[in-house]
Amino acid sequence: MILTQTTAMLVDAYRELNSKKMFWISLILSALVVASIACVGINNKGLTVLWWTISLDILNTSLLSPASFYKFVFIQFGFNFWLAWIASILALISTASIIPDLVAGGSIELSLSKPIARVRLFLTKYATALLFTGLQVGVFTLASFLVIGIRGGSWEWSIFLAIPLVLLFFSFIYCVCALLGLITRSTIAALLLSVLFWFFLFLLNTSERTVLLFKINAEDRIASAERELGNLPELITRSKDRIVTFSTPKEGETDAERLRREANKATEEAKLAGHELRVNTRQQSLTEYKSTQATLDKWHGMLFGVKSVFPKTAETMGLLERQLTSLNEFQKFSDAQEEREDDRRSRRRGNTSGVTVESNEPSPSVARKVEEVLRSRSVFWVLGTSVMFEALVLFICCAIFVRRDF
Amino acid sequence: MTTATADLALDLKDVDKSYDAGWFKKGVHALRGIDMHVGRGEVFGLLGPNGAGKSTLIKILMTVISPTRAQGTMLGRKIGDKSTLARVGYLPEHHRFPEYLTGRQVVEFYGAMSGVSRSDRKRRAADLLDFVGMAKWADTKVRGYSKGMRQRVGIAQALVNDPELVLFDEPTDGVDPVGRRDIRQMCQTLKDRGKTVFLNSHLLSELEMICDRVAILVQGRVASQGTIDSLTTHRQRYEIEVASDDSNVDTALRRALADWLRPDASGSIAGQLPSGEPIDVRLDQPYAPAMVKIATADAAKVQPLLDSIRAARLTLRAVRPIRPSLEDLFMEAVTDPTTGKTLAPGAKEGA
Repeated sequence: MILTQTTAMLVDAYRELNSKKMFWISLILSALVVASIACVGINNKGLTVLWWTISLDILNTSLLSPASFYKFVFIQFGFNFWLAWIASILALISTASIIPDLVAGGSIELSLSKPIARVRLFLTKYATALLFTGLQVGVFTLASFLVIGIRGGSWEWSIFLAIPLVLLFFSFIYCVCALLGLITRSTIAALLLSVLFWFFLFLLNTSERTVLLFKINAEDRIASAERELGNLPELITRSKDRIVTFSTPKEGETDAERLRREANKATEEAKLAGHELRVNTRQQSLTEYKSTQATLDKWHGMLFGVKSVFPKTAETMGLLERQLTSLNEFQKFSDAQEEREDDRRSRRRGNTSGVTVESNEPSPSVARKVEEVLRSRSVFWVLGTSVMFEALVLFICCAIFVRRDF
Repeated sequence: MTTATADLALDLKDVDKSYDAGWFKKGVHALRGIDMHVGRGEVFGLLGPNGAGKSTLIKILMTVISPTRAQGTMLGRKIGDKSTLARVGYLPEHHRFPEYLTGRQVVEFYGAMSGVSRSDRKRRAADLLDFVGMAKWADTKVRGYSKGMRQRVGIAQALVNDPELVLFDEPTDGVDPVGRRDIRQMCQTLKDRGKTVFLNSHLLSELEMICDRVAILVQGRVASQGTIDSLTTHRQRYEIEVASDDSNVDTALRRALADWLRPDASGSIAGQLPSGEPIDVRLDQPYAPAMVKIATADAAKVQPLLDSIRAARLTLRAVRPIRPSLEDLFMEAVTDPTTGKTLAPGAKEGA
């Protein structure tokens, strides 16, 4: 009986989605996205779009292999943009009505009067929404797998990890949508409030990442200042020694030699004064950096704590990137980008001497460190705590659904 | 399980339901200890004014609402047992089928939800849609159906699991007279097939035509229940109509019935038979004959009064045995005996 009922609900969910046309619209859009990814390529000159080539110094096969290029495009555009945003919003719109429709007057009486436990009825309905999202993601991933294989020459089986990851990502939002649908019985209210919740997660994640970036930047500066302060005493001693040397006149010194010695002495004295001034300013900066770092550390700790309780949507999607690519894979490409970025910054400051100038902007190496920190976060922290949140929300849903009189 | 219980499709004892008060609503005591028995194979009618608790009672049976307190059995199993529902069919009052399904798909879907195998529900869906007169529109989407057609499909889905007990909540709601007749015939056919039919309806005349037994629910309580005969027997009466052309009829009739009449403080003419049944005489109705009402179903007890009226040379225009209709019973149940006014609709407030 369980199998008969479950199959019937799945078939019914398919008919419902089919009647709304949204399922097919999403599928067609997914096909278009994959087709557009397939149209773009890379060769030794630059980027190719169908049979046209756009010459680019920063993007060609000398910096990035075709397989890495397609993986990059799939992750950045197909996965992080299309699946994580557009397709998920379409899926949310398609499935937001499932729970409000289930509990609507006239419909719920028919469902509850059948020999099926309320918890199973609710969870099966919930699962049907996820199943059809999974179907959408499955079709998109299969097509992307073929594109990377045929065009990039690399058969990346781990790309299919996108299916459970997107499903988990979607379920973290959808469980809240289901709860709101159950409470308000309104599709529009459930949809709008779910999007609001999604935006809250986005804001929380962005804040945590930004604070983390500045925190690592502050740590980087502290290390740099401490390194510099460590070197300065040696420079001061060296300068003092030189001053002493330049203060002592040589035997049989000519006027020209004397003048050169005094000039060298004056230069060394200026250097010494500069070093001593630097010690003072660096110590002041170090105190400031340490204070900033302590504040950022506190804020980051708070944001991290709050984030630990809620679903980690961005990190969940980041797991595929972790699995598919290593940081070294894009090293050449990143280095070229960094070089370009450094040039751009230097030009902007009008500084072409190559001397390092202190700036408050985080350097690309800091961004890489942030990436390393994010990648070092355990799968349990990313998925385990998010699944626990979902389980809690579903438990509340089931408790409401079981106890409510319809 | 006793034999008596085994013979009952429904054996309800002390079913009680209170809705708790909320922030913006008052608590409602919808059902106040319902005791009700429905035998297997009978057509049972549940009557009551709006808000009496009829739909609440049915929803409790179908596990849509959980009771505050309930004892008893449905098809021999405890009330609230989910597995029993595989043997029960249900048509809710304001049902809403998915608009994207055809009539056939609706019947098959709810058949699957009741655990009916694929082959059985395919076959039964075809048979039932034919039974309810919807074979021609079986493959049309529900969104194109009229209210009556939806009701017919609703009946078909309620029967798809070949239930032993069928609960119809307002099955004729929004259905035209032809449809109503068809639904009555369907109920009769179901009874002939040995099914128990539990009907909740406002249409008293229809219930009277098909129900073996009825219960009247008023403000969450069973006011009366039994066969229509048993409920009406003690309410049967004889009416004697006396021509009132002569202005002396009043005096003559009082004199003729003097042995049975007694003075009444209210001024009306009333009395009783030696066996205690009341007699009511109405003389003051303009343009109407004088009427003597005797609250008995026994013709022999009326004869002495007829003899006296004839002896007084009054003209008898008619002698009629009167059996009250279900509507009379209903109105009696919903009328406050102390004030004579109809009870306010709705359940009583306060848990």
